[in-house]
Amino acid sequence: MVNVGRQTLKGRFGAKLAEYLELPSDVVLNLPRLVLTGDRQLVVENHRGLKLYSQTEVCLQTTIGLLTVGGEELNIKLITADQVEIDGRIIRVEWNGARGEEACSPNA
Amino acid sequence: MLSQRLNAFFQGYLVAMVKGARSEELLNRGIAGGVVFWDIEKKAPGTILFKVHARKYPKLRPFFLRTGTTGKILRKKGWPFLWRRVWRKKGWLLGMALFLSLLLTLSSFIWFVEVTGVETLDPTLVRDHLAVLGLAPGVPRRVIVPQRDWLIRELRIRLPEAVWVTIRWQGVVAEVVVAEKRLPPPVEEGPRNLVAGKDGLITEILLVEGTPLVRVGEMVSRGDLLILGEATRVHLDGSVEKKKVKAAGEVRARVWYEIEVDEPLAVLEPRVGDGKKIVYRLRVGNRLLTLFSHGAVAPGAFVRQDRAVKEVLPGRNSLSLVELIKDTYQTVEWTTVQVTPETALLKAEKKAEGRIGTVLPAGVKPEKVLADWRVQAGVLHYRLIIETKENIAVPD
Repeated sequence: MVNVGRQTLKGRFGAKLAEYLELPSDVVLNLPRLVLTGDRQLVVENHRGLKLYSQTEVCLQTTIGLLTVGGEELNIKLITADQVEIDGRIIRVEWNGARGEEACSPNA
Repeated sequence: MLSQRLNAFFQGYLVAMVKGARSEELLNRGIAGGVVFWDIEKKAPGTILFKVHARKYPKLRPFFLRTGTTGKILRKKGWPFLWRRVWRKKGWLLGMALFLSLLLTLSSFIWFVEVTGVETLDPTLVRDHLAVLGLAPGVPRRVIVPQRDWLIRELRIRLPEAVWVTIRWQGVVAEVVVAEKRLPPPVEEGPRNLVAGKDGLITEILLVEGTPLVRVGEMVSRGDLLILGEATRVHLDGSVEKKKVKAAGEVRARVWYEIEVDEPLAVLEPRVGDGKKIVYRLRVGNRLLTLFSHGAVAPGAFVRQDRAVKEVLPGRNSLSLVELIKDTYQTVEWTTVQVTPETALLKAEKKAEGRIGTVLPAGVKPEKVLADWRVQAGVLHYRLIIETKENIAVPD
């Protein structure tokens, strides 16, 4: 389910609670956590699987929609159940909440 | 990441390839099943290369069927596979074990004894003393190393010329550092005369002890007696006593030094020709081994040699026992170049000035300097006369 830009009641309550108790929202709200190091490396924690992989684009399923990483010579250095490490020259990082599946198809 | 890679190496991992339209799905299913992938590369559409722990690979097999992809193991890497390969080659393993044990055995001996720091002492003498004490090439380290303090003590007793001795162990090399005693010059006792050390015109006499035999204004030659080592005392009773003494004092005189420089007006200058030969050599200790060479120079031609030396493994070769030498030989053609008298004079002046420091004794400064030059038979003769005032009295 894609829900970027629209939060459910549970989500809004969780966000308020996390803010009030000063808890990390990625843990409380089960959000993906992205660490981008310059344009060389991107670490995505809490993903839900690999949707598409090519040397110029990597699409990852997350709890809040599809995450598209565009760039050049992209390599997945490590992929585990909850972490993906992408190396290469990263040009863009984009959430495809509205475009959904078709945004991450090999022909898109 | 490093720990993950180390873990993968020691557990063994596979470089595998998956082919099919749903290859990403295969990875997702593997991840869900607890498989970790790394170094994932997309080689072509639908073809993904990845690395995976060897023991986790069987978990992927059912997913290949379900996703309609095919998997292929390209390479098996890591310690378990390496060890299996090595274990199969028993001869190689035995050879390696023998080589390592030989290396370890040889490195447990002292093979070189280097003596450094000696100036007047003969290093061979120091080595002979050390050999008598038990430190010689071929002695086991475990025997000699614990005896270091005793060796130093004994060597100092055997070498009275040494003020300090130490021994450093550097692998198979024992470096013996010796600091020699610097004794003051022996004091001369007893009567003596003072004679002229060089020709000169006496300008001043300062007498401390003895009888002066020259006067101011006299010209003396080298070896002339200046102050006699004899003192005359007249006692109250009129008797005269002559006593041998150690003559002391200074006889200052004008002394002249002459510097002559000949500068040719035509010189032969070398020009590098076409012939060239490069020879690579290896020096091991005192042995020089020719490795290979290329090029050629005409036999009998004048050649110029340039040598470039490179230490092999400088970190492990502190005594420069092994060096790589590159000798470049080039043919040389000599051509005559004319020099103007002005240029030759400038050169001669420069040379003569450079020699002043070597001609004059230490601490003596020139009082007057006279220069003249003439050209004769294609050569410029330059002459510099330096006048000084100095003490010329020296013990005989």
